[in-house]
Amino acid sequence: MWRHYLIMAARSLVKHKLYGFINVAGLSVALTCAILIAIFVRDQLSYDSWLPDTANLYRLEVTFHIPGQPPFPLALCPFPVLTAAGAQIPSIRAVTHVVPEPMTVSVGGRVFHEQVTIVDPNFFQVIRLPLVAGRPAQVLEQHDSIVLSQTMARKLFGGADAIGRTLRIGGDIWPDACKPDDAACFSKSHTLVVTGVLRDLPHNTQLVADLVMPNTSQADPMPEVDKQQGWTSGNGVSGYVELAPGANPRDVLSAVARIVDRSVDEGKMGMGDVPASSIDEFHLTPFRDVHLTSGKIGNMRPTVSPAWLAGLTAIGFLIVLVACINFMNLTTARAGLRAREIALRRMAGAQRRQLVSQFLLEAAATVLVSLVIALSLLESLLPLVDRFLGVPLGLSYLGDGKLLASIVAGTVLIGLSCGLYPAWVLSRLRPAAALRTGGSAQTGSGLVRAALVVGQFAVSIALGVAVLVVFRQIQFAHGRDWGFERSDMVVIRGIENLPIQTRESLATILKAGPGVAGTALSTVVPFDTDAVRNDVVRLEGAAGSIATEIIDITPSFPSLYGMRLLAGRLLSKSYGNDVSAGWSEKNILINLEMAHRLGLSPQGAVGRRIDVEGSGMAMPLKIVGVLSDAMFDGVRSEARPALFMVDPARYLRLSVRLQGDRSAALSLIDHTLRSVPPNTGVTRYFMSDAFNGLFQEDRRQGEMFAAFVVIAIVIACLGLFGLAVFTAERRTKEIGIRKISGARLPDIVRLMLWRISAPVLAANVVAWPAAYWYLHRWLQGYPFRITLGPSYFLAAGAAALAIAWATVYIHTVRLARTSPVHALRSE
Amino acid sequence: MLSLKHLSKVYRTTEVETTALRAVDLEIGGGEFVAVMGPSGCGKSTLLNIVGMLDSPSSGEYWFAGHEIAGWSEGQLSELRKNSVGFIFQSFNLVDELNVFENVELALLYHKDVSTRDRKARVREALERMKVAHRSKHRPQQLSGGQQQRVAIARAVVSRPKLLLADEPTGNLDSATGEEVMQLLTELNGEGTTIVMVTHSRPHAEYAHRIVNLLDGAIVTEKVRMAV
Repeated sequence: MWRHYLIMAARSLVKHKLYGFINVAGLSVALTCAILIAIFVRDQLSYDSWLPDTANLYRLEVTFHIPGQPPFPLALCPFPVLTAAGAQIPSIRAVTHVVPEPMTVSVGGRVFHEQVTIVDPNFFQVIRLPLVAGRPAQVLEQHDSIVLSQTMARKLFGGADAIGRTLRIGGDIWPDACKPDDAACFSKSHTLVVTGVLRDLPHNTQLVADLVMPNTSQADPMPEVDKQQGWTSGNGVSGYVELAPGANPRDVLSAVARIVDRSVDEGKMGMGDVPASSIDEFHLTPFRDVHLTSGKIGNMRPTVSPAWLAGLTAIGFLIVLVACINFMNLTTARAGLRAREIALRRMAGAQRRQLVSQFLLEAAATVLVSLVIALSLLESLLPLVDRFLGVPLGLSYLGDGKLLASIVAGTVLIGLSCGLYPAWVLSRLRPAAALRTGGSAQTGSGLVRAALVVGQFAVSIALGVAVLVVFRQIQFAHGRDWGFERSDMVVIRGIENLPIQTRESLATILKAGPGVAGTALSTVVPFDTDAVRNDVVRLEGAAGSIATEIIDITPSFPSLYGMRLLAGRLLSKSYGNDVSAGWSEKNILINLEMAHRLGLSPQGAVGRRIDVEGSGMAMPLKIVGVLSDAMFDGVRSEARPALFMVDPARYLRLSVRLQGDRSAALSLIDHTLRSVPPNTGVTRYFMSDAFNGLFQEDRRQGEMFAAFVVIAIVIACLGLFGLAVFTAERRTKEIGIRKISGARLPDIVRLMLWRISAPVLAANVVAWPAAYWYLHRWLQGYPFRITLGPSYFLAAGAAALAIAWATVYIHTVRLARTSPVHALRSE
Repeated sequence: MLSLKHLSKVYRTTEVETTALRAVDLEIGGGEFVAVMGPSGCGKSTLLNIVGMLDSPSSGEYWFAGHEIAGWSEGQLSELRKNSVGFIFQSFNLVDELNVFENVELALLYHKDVSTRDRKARVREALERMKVAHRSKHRPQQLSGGQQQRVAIARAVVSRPKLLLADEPTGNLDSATGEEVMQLLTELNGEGTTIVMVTHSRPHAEYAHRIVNLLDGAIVTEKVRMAV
């Protein structure tokens, strides 16, 4: 019996090639997308699930609520807060600090620039990463120990056993750690002994652990004073907390708040008389959920927003839905053609449920054939997708029986749900009626079919609106005015590891070179602002203080970055107080936002004095110029108050603007950089790359989204085409009669186009409010956003209509051209 | 075998009410060969559909093999139908996607009590009997009209029904082939199968024991040919 059903299904698929193609092609592509999305989402959800004993593990994170500014959520935790929490809160079983630092590693004359993870000695006991050599409790016990990943061990020591071998580590000099002219201090490195080898971490982890070294080591660049007193600074510290079983995270957080209130005096920070915990708010994120957080700054590796995963999953469902609607529509529309077969089966004694199972089987078979095609499509697409996502997704059937089983089960389920409505319609045919009308009874409710087509178009239009809005928003954020010029800029990093004179002479040498328009040193550069200093200042004679960023620059910085001077003058070497590092009055620039916060106009600010309160910088500062606002971090929507001053000890970056002969300039830069000691880790990059990197994830998501939407629309069009061909075939008689009655070709084409337009227009009514509702909420997540005007909706609706017309036009014209005699004979 | 008592059939739409059969009384005995004649639209096909349990009467009684089946459910009727009734149509009604063998097999497919081996054997037997066994693997559209009707007859008889209903079985055939089909039906009737045949052809009706003439849904005359 089943064999018979299968034969029937296969032959019917072959006989009606167009409909077979539309169904199978649509379902194959939809299944490919759905499986792709499923394995991507599954991969994202699998982050860190492979690690044992993480049920009580959390990451402690701080969000700064600075009055008058939007909350500033960090993935980080001030070093002493975590230390104190571990020591003072009984329900915390253990804590471990994790600080990734870019450092230089040298082995036998070879130098590598690597990310070194600096942790508490108990790290491997708290986060149980798999060691292939060494014991978790011992590998970081010694100050001079280091643990390597298998890959890193091979890279540094070849195939040989790494345990007991030594390497030297240096670089990442913090400001003020060395005296300006102490060259030996800047090039200092430390010898470490390999005490353990770590199994390579899979890609699905929040951690970076290729080189793991204890923070008791001499090589740890973080100064002791920051570890003891950096109560309000993230300092790049990820803080992990292991709670005792049954401990309530909320209780732990209140205990943390009490510690912070005891230890931090916000009044001294200029925040007024408020408890510190109202400004520094702490959270505990479960270890396994860290990858699924968004909007926090300072994660070790990129995270993913759950909303995006949910959106992607929804798109997967919608694509399958669209393909299913095709199947249902084409199957029920053509049910009449099978009326004879159905009637004969009934006469042969088939019960209704037997017919239902036959049609369900046919649907399941069609979907399974599509699955086979989808899987082979997937095989050829996966390498491309992996490259696009930068994540090895992989689909190994043999190794992953569970995945394959759920794919097959899901597919069968899809087949059954696709087949249910057609099966119900087909099995309801009355045999006598079917045979009387010569095997072409009208079946299935035209109303249901119309509703399905409207639904399909509504999905396409809503997705179309979403794509337009998403891309416009990305473009908008990308192309906004940041308040500075970023083109043709090369940034050299790692100069903090050079003596101060060397930094300045590098700037001077490069400035004189060919193809270089200018250079400037600074603590931060656009899109790389982690090292920005935050402090509190007060206008001389005023009562309130305000929080500000302090950016240390050489005088050429504002003009190099094209920042506009609104009042006063720029800094210059020709004024002693502009560049002096002495203790007398010092001249500074401020930005417009700062002037506003101080209650001054740009002109009014020039010549006024301010005091720095927080970090005990005793000297008074005099404003000599006001700059336009610049959003250096590329994330925030609003400018923060900033002041710019000269402080040669603090420069971390050298900016070089190219002009004219770029290749000459680049070879000069590379040549010059070769002259600095290799273990300092000085490298260059293009600012445009950093900028693009900032939006890479957004753009990648946008592109993925667009690709899926295009696929959904193409599948919907395929179905529409099939349906159009079918209705046109059924209407040949009507067309013939109309032509005999005097209708001309354009009349008929217009009639057919109107018939296809009606459902599209109706779909807009459904799609627009839904799209508006979702996109309005989505845009709220972007502080700097486009307005949701009617143009996106009209454009998507018009595009849908145009696509629908294009889909049916040619077929309609051909049909309308046929001779009426032929048309009438066809019934 | 079957008896219709005061049986009527009315088709209703929202606006029109059409009476297809009015108060028909008809008795058909086992082994009889009855021809139903009458002009187009007189209710012949409706009568055949009701007799074949494809349609239900609006009023009156339908007794089949000793049961009054007018109120039976679709499932019960389906069960009764598959064991007792075979159909032959003017337009053959073969399934294009199935070959000759499979078309005939269709009639036994829903008989759970027939094993696969048995089924195949019976299909082969029926095809041989109808002299189309050599065409088993062909699709209906590759066959001549006469061959197609032989396949249709094979399908109708393969389940060994007691009652064979034929709706203008020769209507689409040339006269020579039509004669052949009538011979086959006569042969089947000779073996004990009851046959009810709707036809427009007077000569073919003459093969029957009895001719029932319908006009506007009512039986007007019955002619019994005692010669056979």
